[in-house]
Amino acid sequence: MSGTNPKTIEDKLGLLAYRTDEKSHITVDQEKFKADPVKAILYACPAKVYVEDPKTGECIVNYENCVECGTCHVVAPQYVNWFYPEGGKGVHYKMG
Amino acid sequence: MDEQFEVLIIGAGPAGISAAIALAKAGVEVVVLERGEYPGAKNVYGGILFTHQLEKIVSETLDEAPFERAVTRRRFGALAADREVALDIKVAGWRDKPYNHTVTALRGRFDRWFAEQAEAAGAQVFTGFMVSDLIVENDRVVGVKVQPGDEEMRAQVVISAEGAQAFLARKVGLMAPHLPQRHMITNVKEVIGLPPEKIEDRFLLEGGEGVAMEYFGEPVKGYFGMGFVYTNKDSISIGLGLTVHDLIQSRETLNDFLEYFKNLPTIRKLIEGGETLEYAAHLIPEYGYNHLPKMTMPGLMLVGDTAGLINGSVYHEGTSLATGSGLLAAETILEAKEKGVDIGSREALAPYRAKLEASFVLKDMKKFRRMPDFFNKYPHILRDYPSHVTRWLADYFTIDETSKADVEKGILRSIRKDIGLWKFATEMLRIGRVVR
Repeated sequence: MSGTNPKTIEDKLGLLAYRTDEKSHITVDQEKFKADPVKAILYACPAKVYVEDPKTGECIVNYENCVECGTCHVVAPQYVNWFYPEGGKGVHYKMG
Repeated sequence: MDEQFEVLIIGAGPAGISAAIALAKAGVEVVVLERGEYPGAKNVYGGILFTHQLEKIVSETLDEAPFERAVTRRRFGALAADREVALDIKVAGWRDKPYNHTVTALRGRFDRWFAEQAEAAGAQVFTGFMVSDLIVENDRVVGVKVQPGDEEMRAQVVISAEGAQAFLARKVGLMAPHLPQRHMITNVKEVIGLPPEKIEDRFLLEGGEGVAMEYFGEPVKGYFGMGFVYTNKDSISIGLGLTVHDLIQSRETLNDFLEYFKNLPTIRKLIEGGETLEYAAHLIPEYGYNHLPKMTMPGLMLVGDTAGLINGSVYHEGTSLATGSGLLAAETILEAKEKGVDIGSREALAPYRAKLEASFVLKDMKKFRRMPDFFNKYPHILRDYPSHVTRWLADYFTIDETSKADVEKGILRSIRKDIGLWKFATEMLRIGRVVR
């Protein structure tokens, strides 16, 4: 059943078509990220793009998962620098 | 490319394409730049398309549009964990043209078709081109920078139909540099495939009929937002949205909310056995009338979501305001051209805001102007009322040997305890004032 009814974000992202850009369309100011006690982007991103590195405390940016909603830069404009991927790149919604 | 076009439109969504069609039909040279590989590739919404403006734009071909179902039933539910109280409106006449101007549609299909209508009218639609910046000279927008290729394209007037994120409008100062967390609704949605007969049986629909169900309370665990279920031909769109502010407070993921909503006892059976086809997320700018951006500057106009044109309230209209504003932007340009005025000048673009005010676009937003601030100021209303009201009604209809008179007294006691009679009365008045 898990194939037709994915429950986790990872499985749901597996349904999407992407054309991944070679370079990231997202950058994170690591010092400001580390200083943020809440780090809401870790759960507010619906595509789990942002993951905290347990060793360094830095923010790993899995930009290739991005579904381009823009929630992250509304959550943390002080350290998330998000802009659209280059034309034709990124997620391709079939239904929307 | 140092060629100068008359009008350049950023974004092939409903707002940009409406403007493109109206301008192209009038013989204006118009170019649309869309960052997706095809129109609709980046476009997400709940699932209801309002069509009254489309009838003005593409009346000849509207019958061929890839709509899913005519919405003949609308339902507004207050949802608690194990119970629901709903207002359910079903009008058989809405299954006939013009379908109450309310249909379900999937944007990947509709936006592509709509952009084809713009091309048929003579507009040029370039896909796979992302506008990375506006070119401003002497306080006037004179063109755009395009990726890939770092090209510049110039135009007498640029219409930004960029969408909810409004990067370009923010960059040139038509709105504040950061989007407001309390007014941006972040949404998540799944499209779940089901055979048409199953959908019609489950939702009590005839062939071709559809339903729009919206739920307050439990889908968003009492935060400022709502859940929705819309029926397509052979799929169901199910999702929810809440303010970014509240999502941060919740410490949960949107997918946690969605899975919780899908598994509520009143919802579960609607989607049972279906196959998830797509997962999507999107922002909706619900600033409300009192917090709209500046709509123009020399050389630039904002339309649709970029301009914050969303009637949240109980209507949840976005596409009609998008198409309406696109048409009015085109009309503004055409009138200036008629008069022989420079179509990007301050003078030429000035009437646009007044046109929006005189149309349903801002009339409707003005009527509900207090709403976004109201729910932000009194968050307990969306948090507590769905739970209270459904419990009071559940109590009222609970059958046992308690006398009906005692049941009523019990409910009054609950209202007194849960809220207080005086507070309940004043809050009802307040809610009444907000929607009046």
